[in-house]
Amino acid sequence: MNASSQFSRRRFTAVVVAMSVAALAGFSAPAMAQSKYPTRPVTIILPFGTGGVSDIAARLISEKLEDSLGQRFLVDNQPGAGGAVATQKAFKGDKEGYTLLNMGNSATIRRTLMPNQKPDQITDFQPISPVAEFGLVVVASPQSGIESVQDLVKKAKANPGKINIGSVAVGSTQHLSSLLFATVAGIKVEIVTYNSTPELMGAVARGEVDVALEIVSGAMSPIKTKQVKLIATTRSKRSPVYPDTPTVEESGVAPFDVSSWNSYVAPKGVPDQVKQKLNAEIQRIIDQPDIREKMLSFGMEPFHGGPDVVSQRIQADVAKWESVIKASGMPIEQ
Amino acid sequence: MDLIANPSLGFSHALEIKNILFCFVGVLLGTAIGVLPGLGPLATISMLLPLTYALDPISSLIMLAGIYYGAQYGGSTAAILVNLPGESSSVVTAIDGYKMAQQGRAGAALAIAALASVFAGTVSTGVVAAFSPILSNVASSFGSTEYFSLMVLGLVAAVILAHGSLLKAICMVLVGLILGCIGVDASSGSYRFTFGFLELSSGLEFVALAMGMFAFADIISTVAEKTGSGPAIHKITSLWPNKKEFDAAAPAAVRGTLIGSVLGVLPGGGAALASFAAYTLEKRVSREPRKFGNGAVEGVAGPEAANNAAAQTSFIPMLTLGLPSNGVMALMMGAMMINNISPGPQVMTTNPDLFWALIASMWVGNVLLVVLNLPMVGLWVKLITIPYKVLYPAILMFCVVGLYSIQNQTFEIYIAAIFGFVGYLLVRMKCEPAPLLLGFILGPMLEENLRRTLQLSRGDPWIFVTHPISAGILLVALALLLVTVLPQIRNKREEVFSEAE
Amino acid sequence: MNLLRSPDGQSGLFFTAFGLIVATLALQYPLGTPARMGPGFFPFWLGILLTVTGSLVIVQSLRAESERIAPLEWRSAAIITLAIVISASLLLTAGLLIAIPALVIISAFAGRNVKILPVVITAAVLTAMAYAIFILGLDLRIPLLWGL
Repeated sequence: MNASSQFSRRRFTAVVVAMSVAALAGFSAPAMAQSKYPTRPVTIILPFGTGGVSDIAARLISEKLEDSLGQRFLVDNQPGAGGAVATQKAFKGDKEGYTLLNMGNSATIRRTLMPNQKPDQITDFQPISPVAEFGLVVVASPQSGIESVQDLVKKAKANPGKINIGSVAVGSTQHLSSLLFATVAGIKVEIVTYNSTPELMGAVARGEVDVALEIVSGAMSPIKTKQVKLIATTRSKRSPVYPDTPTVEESGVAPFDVSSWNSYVAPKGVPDQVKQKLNAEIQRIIDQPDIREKMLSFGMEPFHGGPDVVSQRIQADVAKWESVIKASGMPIEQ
Repeated sequence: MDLIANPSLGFSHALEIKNILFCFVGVLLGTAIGVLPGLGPLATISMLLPLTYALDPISSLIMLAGIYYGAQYGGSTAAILVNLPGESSSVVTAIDGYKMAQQGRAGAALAIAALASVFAGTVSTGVVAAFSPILSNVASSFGSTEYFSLMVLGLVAAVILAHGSLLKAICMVLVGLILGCIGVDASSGSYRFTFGFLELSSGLEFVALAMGMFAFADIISTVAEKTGSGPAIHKITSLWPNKKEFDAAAPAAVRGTLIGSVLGVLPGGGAALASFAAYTLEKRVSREPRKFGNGAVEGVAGPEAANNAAAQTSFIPMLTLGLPSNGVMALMMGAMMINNISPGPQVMTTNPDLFWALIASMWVGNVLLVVLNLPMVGLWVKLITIPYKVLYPAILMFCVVGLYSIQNQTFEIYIAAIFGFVGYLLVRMKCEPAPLLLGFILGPMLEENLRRTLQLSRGDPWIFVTHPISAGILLVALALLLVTVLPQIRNKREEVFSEAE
Repeated sequence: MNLLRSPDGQSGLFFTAFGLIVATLALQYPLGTPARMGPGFFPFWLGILLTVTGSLVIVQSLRAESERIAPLEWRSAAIITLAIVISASLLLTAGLLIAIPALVIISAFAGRNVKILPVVITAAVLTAMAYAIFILGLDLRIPLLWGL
């Protein structure tokens, strides 16, 4: 019994070796190269500068990828022109999986706002793996007396056009979410834009605007110090960062499921094996306890799934934001 | 009690050999990038930030802060020596500093700038230590309405600091405001005046504009004369300021420190106003305002002190409110967050060692800056004694590569070339570039705050007068304008009368 | 004609024209209302204001006896601008090691008493400096020679 199992294992090994030799000698040299991926450094291009939470997350993940795949994973920050600089650079990169681009939710908005931009992150690239998802929060100024979404809606209905919702740049996820919120809640509000998250949070703290929708990471510090009041989170399930805070949908404004996300994409043409290998590695890394905990401390949640999950999410978000943009009459760049 | 205990806690960290070293590296690097055109502290810190993720938070913040105020400092060196303001804050330093250099007083100008800076740095470090909580209340009482009025005051200051015709200065400010409109309009998302250039979507690059209008235009208008067979232009009389210069500079530095400390606290662009608010003040209080623009030492000391003081106090909103006042501060917040420190009022209680070490290191950094730079004055001054034939191609070389490095693209070089040519034509028409640049800096903030205030007031302009702080600022602006305009009109009348006689 | 010869007159004309152009261009964007300013609002009124103050400068120049404008340094203006533009276009195509010598050599002709040898030496030294500071020291990513 013992001897036979020994034998069969040896035979099995022999077969595997023989098969590998055959593979090596003959038919698919490229397949071989792919299974060895990566054989040289990989570049992850980010469409934003250093210092933000998405940058930090990308660096944490690339460090882990280096450990497990044994090659350098270089993070290359290419901010500028609303992501066009990074997209351009990634598009010129190689198509064997050595050039990755961090794609964000904003690409699904630009699809409608700037339909003629080339290269396009959606049509000229292919998804590799989802990475992180971050919900938004609804915060209210302490002076407004608004304690919940119900308060907000009631107040807005009693005084149409009097409530000010603060947001960052026109065409941002936050801005479109504010528009969507007003539509779904059926309220008439004034949307006031600010140049940056700190300015917006300052305006909420001061009571210049009554409420604001902001990405979790940007609002965490003012929420913690009670400069602004957290009244709801924006996904359909509760946020792991603020599990005690109700969602917008729970508060009676439905359907409302909004979040921002990051995924890695690559110029079209990456071999399937490479794509699968990268996807599996990234998915494994975002669930590692240390990474998970660090990301949660920035308000980011791991975003699970294969490349197809990214494709579906892109489709859904393009459709969602397109209807919001068309309804708002925002200028579309031809 | 805390007034002694806290700073001594800070110094115990800041004076660790390791941290002094990081501080030194920071200010050295900062000075270098400040002197080199193009590379700014924002770009440098964002390049270095990933490296600091591995350091302990105190050391990394000390180094990043050193880069920031070191760059403010280095920027004035290039402005004084070769009329090349690399930072918005050194635009006004270029006005009188460069004139002084042309008169052979480059050494004095550099020394005054250094001493005024270290004085301001020392005082404002004390201000940050003692008054942070109070000053952060000032910052949080400023809303869109108040910022709009502050920007108006800034524009009035920009007009006054010109030494030629008032009307032409107003025109230049307006041109600057118009140039500031280029790019994506933040409130509507539409592309304004980009003429199909994607590179213009985030607006004209300040450095390209400043290099064109100052350095390139200056080379064009003087190259023929300075490479002629005449004697060397830059005779150096003495490296150090004389007693008269020193006496004039000292009170100017005190006033500049005060103005800078207050304006630096305001996160919505107060620090950008500091240096030229100080210049305008000096020109107003001076008994000989005609000296300004012709090498007035107060015109270097005041703005330099203000600029450095504002650089220090601009840490206050980040440290006490968690609201960064500019891009550099936002990056420093990133450096804190990676180390699980959330910036805000609680930093003082949860991480007192970090808070006070950072403040103490600012003072250490300022001392290091002077130790580093005063001996360099002689060397810098030698630099401009090299023949102009070699100097101007060198300036061009540094500008071209520096412009490229801003975005790793050549677009900014073309922009600077265009503005060099236009700037030369404007200088020839006796129009000064400084008001234009200041209009350009303030324009976007002016428009933003105007639009937002009127949106919040639903179109009611009286809001600017019914808000007391805003009304006060506007009143000061009006008074400043009147005391400047009235004498000019009276002089005109006197001229007319004397001609008639 | 006094207007074209004085610095005030020329600048007044320039400002007025520039203001008119800006105001006209701004009209292609929605102006909006003060409560909801459109993207055209601010530039349009700036253009109008500049037109008005520009005309005041013209009026002022007509009334006052003003100095004559300095002669146009067309040679230095053309050569310096050209040198910068050419070196910019060479920077990414031919590389830093071509663009900098081109910049130095072309711009040298803006000066007087040009001697070839010192110019070549200056070009060589400055190119070496650019290489040392920006490539070795700061590790900037600039192509050196034909994309290398």
